[in-house]
Amino acid sequence: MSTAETIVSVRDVTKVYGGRMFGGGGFRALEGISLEVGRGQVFGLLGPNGAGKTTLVKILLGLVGRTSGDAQLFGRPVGDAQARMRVGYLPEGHRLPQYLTGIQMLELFGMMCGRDRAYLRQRIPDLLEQVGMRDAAGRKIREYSKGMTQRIGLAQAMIHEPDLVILDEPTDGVDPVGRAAVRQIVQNLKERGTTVFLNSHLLQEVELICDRVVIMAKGKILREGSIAELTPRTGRYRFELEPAPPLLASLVGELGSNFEAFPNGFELQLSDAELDQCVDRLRNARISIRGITARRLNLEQAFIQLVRKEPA
Amino acid sequence: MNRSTTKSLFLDALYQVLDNLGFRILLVLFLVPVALSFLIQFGEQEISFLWAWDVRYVDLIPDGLLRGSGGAPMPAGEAQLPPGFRDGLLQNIATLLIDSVADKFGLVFGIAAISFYVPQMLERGAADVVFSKPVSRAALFLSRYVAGLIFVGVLALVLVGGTSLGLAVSSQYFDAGLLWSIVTLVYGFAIFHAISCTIGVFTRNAIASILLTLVFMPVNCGLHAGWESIAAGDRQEADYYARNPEKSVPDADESPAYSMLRTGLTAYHVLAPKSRDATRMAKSWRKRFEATPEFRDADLGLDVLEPPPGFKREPRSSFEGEGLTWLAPHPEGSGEASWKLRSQDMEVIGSRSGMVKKLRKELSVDPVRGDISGRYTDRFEWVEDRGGEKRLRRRWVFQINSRILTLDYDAEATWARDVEQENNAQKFVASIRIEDALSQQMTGADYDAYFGWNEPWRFNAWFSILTTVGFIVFVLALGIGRLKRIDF
Repeated sequence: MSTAETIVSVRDVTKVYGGRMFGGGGFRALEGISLEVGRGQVFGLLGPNGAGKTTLVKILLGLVGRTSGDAQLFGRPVGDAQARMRVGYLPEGHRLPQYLTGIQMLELFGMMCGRDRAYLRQRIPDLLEQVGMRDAAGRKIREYSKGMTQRIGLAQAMIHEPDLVILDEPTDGVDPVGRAAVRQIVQNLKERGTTVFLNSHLLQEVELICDRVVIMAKGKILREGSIAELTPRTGRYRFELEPAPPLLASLVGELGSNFEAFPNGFELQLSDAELDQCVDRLRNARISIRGITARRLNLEQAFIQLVRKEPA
Repeated sequence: MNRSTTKSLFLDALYQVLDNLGFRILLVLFLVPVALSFLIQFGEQEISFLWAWDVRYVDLIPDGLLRGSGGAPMPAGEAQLPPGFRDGLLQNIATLLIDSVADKFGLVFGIAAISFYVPQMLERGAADVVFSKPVSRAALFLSRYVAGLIFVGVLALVLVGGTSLGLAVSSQYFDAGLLWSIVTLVYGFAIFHAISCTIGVFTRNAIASILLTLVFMPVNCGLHAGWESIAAGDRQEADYYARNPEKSVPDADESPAYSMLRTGLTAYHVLAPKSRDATRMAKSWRKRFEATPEFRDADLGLDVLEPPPGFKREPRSSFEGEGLTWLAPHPEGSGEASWKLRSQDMEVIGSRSGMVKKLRKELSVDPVRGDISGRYTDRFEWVEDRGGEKRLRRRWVFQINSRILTLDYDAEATWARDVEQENNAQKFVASIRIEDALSQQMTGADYDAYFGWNEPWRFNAWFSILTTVGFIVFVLALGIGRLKRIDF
């Protein structure tokens, strides 16, 4: 049962494309997906191509019908106009109306989401400033570059100040400066208490901005959790020393494996017991330890490990 | 859907139309006749370009053409325009603009220009953006449909409204009935645009949508035309046996194939949109705005638009009896001049050729071939000595359906041959209009003669509108139903 704070609730959702009447056949894009997203969270959805991420997003927006299961937004069935009024969406590979200027599009989409013109006249300049499109907003969308289209697309997803923003590959085609700006926008949304549902291939980005992540493959959820939960320790430790003495390898090298020295210290694969021994040896040798960092897999490594484990 | 949302859909449709290249091209093309209607002044006798360069109609039209028109002889001297020439010319120009340019060319071009609206909306990427908004799919689909109607409505308003205004300002000519063409143009377009939109939903392909709609247009017209000729033929036959009760109706001897064809065409006519009727309705509306004629026999399709200038109708005279009579006193007071229009008794005179032969023999005068409202007439002219006074006599003999009509002119010869009186005679004969089934048949439009607002269902304009609107609603509902089931 969804709580008041649950913004997105998906229960055992299945989607079969091209299924024959009376069951059987077809491509199973989603297999019993369940997840919940709470208010104010930045939620990341990861998965290789064909994992079913976009299908799940489209089910949430009523663009695709589900075969079975239940999905709700703000406690209302997906597709409900009241619920959709509170959602902003930037699709992947979107094609905005080419016959409109940036300003016209923002105004029309804002009105479609129930905002009046007076509100939009105040809101649009601020938003254009945020996405860096103030100067080009009076031009027709067909004249925009890929990056500009992406920025104005992001603006249309936020025009009506929605409570949930669903971003599908928001940094696609955006330069590094623009990417940083997108991250900042997501951060701002989070500070305002807006829930963000992020679907991105750029795992570094997801790692930087998401509170919780779901990793999907072949229509199923493989793992779900916080970034820390999804990126386990590798057993490798980095020691920073003051000063770094010569012959470090002979002092601690035989304790673990894969010893690697660098100017101010070394890295070594150690068990917990070996870690204690390593610290003792360095202390006994009167070497000052400035810091020890337990190495973790980054999200990309964790993701690849997880997806590779999935049988083909 | 709140006001903001509705307004946004309307604005979206408007922006889409204004950005459309096809719309802009048509707008420029349509502005040309509008501009010309302001710049050219059509006077009674001459055309004035830019209020400076005057050209007389008689200098533009070959003399032979002028002399060949009308039903009365032209007065001696210089070639003159037939009465009502200017109004007829302007009516023809307006008809050409509306029927040919706007209705045919505009319809095809319009369909080609906006058939991509729906497929474009359904393209991957575009659909995701639009359909994720809190607006129903049906509303978005209908907004694209409305965009097409705005497209044509604006163009029709510019062409018809602008031209009407131009003619009113520069030539002081105004035909209120012409403005109805705006409605009927949009009506005709609404049919094909509905089909184009729905095909667009099913195929999601602009080219397929354009091609299938353009194929449907002539096929639909052809099937209706087939049914209409059958229906008109049936009615003509029924009318004939109603007028001739002594003749027995032959037994129906239809082949099964013809019977099936007839049933199939009838079913198609009932269910399918009757786009051809839009023009008929416009024509019918235009007629409503015409001045009440001096005399009308609806069954015959005979109108006498104006009385002979200077003549008054004899109130007791009747068309079926002694003849409808108009009288005018001569200025010198030597008796009266008269016009008499009479439906002859077939039992007495037999046939038109028989009557002509008889008159030829009696008067020893050869008839001159002429026409009244495009209908063949024999015109006899002779001078009669009546009590010492020379009277000019003319008699036209012509036929409408199975009825023989005569038009007689009787006036003091010198007075009658005055140029002004001859012109008046010309004007009166030209004011006689015949629009019966035969005249429609001659222009390939016999069904048109029966079509009207109070006719049986086969020829009824209301039936046509209701079934057509029903078809449009059905087709749009089909499109909406399909759209609701699409996974984007």
